[in-house]
Amino acid sequence: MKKYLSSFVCGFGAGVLQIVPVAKSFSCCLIIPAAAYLALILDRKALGETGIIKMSKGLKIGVITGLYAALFGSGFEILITFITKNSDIIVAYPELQKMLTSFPLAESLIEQTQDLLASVVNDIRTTGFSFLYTFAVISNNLFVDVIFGLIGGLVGVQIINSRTTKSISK
Amino acid sequence: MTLGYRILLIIIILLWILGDFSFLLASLSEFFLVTGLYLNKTYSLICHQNPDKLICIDNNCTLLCTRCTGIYIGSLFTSIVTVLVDKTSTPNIGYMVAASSLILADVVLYNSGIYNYNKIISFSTGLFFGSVGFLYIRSGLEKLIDELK
Repeated sequence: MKKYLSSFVCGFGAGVLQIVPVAKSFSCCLIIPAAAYLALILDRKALGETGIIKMSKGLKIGVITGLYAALFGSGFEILITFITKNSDIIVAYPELQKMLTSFPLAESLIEQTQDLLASVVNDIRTTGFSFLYTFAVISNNLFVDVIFGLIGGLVGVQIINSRTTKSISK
Repeated sequence: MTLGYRILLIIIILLWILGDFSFLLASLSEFFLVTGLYLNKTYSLICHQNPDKLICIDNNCTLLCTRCTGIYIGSLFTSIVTVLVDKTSTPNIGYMVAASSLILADVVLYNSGIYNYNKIISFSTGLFFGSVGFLYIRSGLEKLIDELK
């Protein structure tokens, strides 16, 4: 835990930012890579390292930051959905219904899909919890945050190493 | 990086772009409709999905905005080009700064009302950023593979 404290701190920050609507739409896909980059800088400062960072370390810190961000982001989103009995799927529901009917597909399939969506929306409105929605939130956050954390780690190491090389050559 | 890894990268990016176009492809197969409904949530984590900024054909839209779609198509383009050129040196960080500055300039200029939001400009800046950004990811992966050998 102590070894990955920087990932924990930055992952927590990214997890919080992921659920703040304005911050979420402003920074888009930059939150997690930026968190991974920041975690690398914090880790270096905490350990007092000044040399070149290994790619494997960047990868590890990036992935762990993504994991923490996914855990906190999912937790907060599920909790907020439970308390408010509202979520982005409820907001998008009327539009999704309209869109579904516009597809030239078998009516039975469209009906099944509409029923599934309606049950998710109904569960959230009445109890604040839907198993399917919770599964979608956790699996999506894990998948996206880990991949973007990995990218942030790999690119972050190169940015830091490029600066380190420049300062050494000076 | 071996040819196998380079082709794997192309396949991953291609699948990601295919996911973005799910609703546009839904009329071809019901698979894309079901996948699109699930992926809508996935892509919402990395894009604002503002309805006015999506690429739409016959009322069916992409899941990512024009700029994000440009970023991934740019990455795909560079990944295909780099299958032919197996270059191992890290690109200069200045290219990344230039690509990011173009996106930032576009966002600031249309938000301040100097010109209206333009999908072509948005797509182009994203395309450039994605093309350059992929080189850093690839370079990082190359170094990682060398380290693990």
